[in-house]
Amino acid sequence: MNCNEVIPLLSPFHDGELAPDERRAVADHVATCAACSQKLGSIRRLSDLVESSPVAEAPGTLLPSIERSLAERTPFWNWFQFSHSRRSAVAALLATAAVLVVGLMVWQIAGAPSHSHEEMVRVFGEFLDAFEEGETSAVDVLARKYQGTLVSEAAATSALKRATVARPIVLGWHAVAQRYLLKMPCCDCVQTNYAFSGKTSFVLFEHEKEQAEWFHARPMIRAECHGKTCCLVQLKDGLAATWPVDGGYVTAVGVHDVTELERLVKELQPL
Amino acid sequence: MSSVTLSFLGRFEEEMASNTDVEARGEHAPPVDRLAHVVAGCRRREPSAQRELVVRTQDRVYRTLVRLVGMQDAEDVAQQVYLQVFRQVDRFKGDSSFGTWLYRVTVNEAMQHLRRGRKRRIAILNWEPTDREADRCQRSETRELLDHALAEIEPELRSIFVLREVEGLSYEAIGAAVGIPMGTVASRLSRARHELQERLRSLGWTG
Repeated sequence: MNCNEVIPLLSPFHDGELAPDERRAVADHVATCAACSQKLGSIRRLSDLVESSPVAEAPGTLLPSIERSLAERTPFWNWFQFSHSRRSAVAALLATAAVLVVGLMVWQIAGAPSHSHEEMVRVFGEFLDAFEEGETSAVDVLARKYQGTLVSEAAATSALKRATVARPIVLGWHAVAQRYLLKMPCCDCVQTNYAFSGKTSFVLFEHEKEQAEWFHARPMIRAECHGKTCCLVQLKDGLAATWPVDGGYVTAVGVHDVTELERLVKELQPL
Repeated sequence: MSSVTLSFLGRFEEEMASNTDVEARGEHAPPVDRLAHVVAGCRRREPSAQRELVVRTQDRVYRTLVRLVGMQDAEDVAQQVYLQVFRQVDRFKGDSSFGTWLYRVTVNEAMQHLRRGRKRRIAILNWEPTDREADRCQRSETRELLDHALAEIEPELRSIFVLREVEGLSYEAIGAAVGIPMGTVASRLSRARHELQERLRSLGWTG
């Protein structure tokens, strides 16, 4: 074989996809040809490059978003695909569901607290707006709405059922000013307000699941940081971001820039 | 059939078997049976089966999509992939492995997304790090290089390259997933590698 014949075979040779006789012929040629040997080396280095740049795991929001879409899009015609017995069973379930829906409506009308998801997104939006405008009362918006109670670090750990990552001092200078336990519709959430030189610097939320939807329609990007997928949102003066920690997620609002965020992601690991 | 192909065909089945939760529940069904069970559940539109399928395959689908459409759009396209899978699962007749079929849906959705040239729902942040070295929150330099180069080659070449280099599929499996003969897989992969090397070198790669 000469070089012109071997070059198109180098890629399948590298992949182990050649028949034994072709493989032997290419190997013999490469062993004596510096140019083809160099081309093969370049193919190997390209594979090494791919191997050395792995991709993060699927984000925690993927499954919930699929489940939500399925719930919204389940077509009515599925009903007709069911057998008679299944239709009967589904009819019984629907009847039960109807009773439950009516019951729920009565319960809500009777004055049960409204914990709708939309309301949660709206309230969090109010908090972000106030925070961006530099209002000192911004840090209390969620506490007022969701029965915020001041808690100690130990109580926060107990409520989260995992060690809080919001330590008394982070990033060298930022100290805990207040720590609230919030009874949010989605979960019990710990809000820790950090201050620097007497002024609120940023707010940290610890919660069970990723809540990128708290940012609602604000433009966001995903980026990797220390092997974690971070969802970032630009604020008027700084950043907000959410990322996974062991056993849950944290959301930081008011981080100065991406360098500070990188330090925070690195620092807020469980001890 | 080569051992590589067998490995690919068994990949999703292996993943089915590797779940410790299933083992913890005492369910020791053979992997292929487990996959068949989950797919049958998806055909019946059972939420628990749909959930299990996503949980067990999402990392593979997401990883492929990050390389095909970029990290920003990968989650949206992954969602579309699973909606298509659940919508079309009745069409999966078992002629190919379920893994092949899932890759086919994944690549099709990625190609459609790229052809549509859909505008990103998300905006690029208008902040730029002033010190590139300090910007450790960005992807690694190696990763950036590869992402840039991959984004510049034709989607048809990119998909073949990703299925081979990221997912480790055999030529036969790639051909089945993309719907092209093995010879075409070989020639496209060779071209993809050549174009990637050229672009990488123009970005400073010394490989």
